[in-house]
Amino acid sequence: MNEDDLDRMLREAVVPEQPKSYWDKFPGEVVLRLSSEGNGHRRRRFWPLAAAGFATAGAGLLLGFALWHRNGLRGPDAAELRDGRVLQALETEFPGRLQAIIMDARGVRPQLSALSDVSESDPIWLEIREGKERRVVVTFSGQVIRCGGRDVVVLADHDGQVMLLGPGFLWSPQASAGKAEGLQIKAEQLTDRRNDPAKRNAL
Amino acid sequence: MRNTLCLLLAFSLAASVQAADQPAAVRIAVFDFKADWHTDYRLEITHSGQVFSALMAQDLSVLKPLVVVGRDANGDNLAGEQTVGEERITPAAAKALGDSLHAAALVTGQLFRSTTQLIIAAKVVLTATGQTSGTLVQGNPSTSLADLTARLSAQIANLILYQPGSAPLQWKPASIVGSGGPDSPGEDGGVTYVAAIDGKPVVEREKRWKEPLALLPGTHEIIIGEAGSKTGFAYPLAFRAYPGARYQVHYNPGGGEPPAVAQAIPIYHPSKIWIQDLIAGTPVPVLVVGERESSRSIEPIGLGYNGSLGGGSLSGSSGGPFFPGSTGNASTGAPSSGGRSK
Repeated sequence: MNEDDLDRMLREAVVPEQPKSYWDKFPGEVVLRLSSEGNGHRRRRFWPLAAAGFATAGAGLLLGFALWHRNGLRGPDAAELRDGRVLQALETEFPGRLQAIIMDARGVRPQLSALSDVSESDPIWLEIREGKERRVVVTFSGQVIRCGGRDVVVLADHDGQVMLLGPGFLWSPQASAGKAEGLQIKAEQLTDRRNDPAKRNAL
Repeated sequence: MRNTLCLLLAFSLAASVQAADQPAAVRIAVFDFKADWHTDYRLEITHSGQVFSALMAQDLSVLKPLVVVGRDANGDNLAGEQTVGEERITPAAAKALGDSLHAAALVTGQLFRSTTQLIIAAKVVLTATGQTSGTLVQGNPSTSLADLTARLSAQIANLILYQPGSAPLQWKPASIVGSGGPDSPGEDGGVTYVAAIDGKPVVEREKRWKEPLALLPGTHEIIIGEAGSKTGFAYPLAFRAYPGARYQVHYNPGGGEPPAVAQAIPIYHPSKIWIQDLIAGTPVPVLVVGERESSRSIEPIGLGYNGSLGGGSLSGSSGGPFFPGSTGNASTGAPSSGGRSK
């Protein structure tokens, strides 16, 4: 190619044109790229902060665990369960749904029915020891709780005698049979003190 | 077994008819109890819990104003496979079940046994409110199953009929006494006496035949003996004792055989025995639960619980059946002329 040919080709050359849609998208692409690069910088900066946060949270958990074991169970104590204050509060919050209140090493939690279908009766206090685990359960006659690794029905009569009945499982203060043997259980039917301050104070 | 349950039902129906006339009748359904031991095919007991629930239904039916409902002509529960035993039953479910069975209360439970004890636990659900309660009885080898069942029935009845502030209901025990003696118009002047109740021999049964013996309301198995003849005899019968009733055992050696009894009593010793309700003045239905034995060697049978349950029978007694369907027959025990009924 001589000089003339080169000159002619350059004159005939057309400047490449981008379609209109390209130029429409171009600003957005730039912003997106810049934004992406900026985020990448922040993500890289996050890890030291996250590590510090995790460390702080871990320290908090350790502190809470230590305080928990130093002060016993968190939340309401056994006395508050026994005198009906917790029961009253939970029944107010979940009317007709409260099946049981369980207090164990994990704390205090309600056992609720999905529907408002729990019939009224006097509360029953159960203290169950299975090995090293101790649980306190406040429930009602006819409700099902876990005991000895199985579901059992809590039943009481009008004299306050309580028994736990399940498949191959019977416990009562007078006699035990089946898988209930070996468990340490104390039971007491509580008179309904939830709405009687005088009775509550007398405890 | 099926025949036995039919016969048990016959008792129950009779009681229901009586109690249904009472305005304050409380209708209850008794579901199958659960039992944790196996069956005895020799005695045709294929479901101990089912048999016990039939017995429980009988005993509850004598405690007015209770009326047992929800059983068909075979003695099976109309509720079929439905159970209220181990699960929590919601008030809505209790009401629906109660409506379908026309029952105000649902009863079920479980039996536990070992070589040293028998525990029967019952669960009661009131269908109007869904309120659920429970009670139990415990026996040792010297306790009869009949007494355990009768006691449990009374406790269940109190759970159902409970009224706040009122004392627990009590039902008077029944009594049973012998008949005959030298002044008796019988052919041989012998004495008919109660030889054993629920597997327990009566002390000095022949001498003290005039002394009434107490029976808790419910089903009992008695052995009727006869003294004064050379051979003597003893017949095991089951019948249902009502609260406060007074019964007397009778023997008419010259009487004809009631048809229903004829098959159960050996023909080589034609006799006629029955139990008379002294207040009503009529014979009561009885179930012949065994063959004639010599009164000299009475063995514990039937509803006695002697702790030796390893053989698998419900009563576990040494040789006696628990309502064996193969030999059981219901009888009204109607006396014929010449009997000693007083």
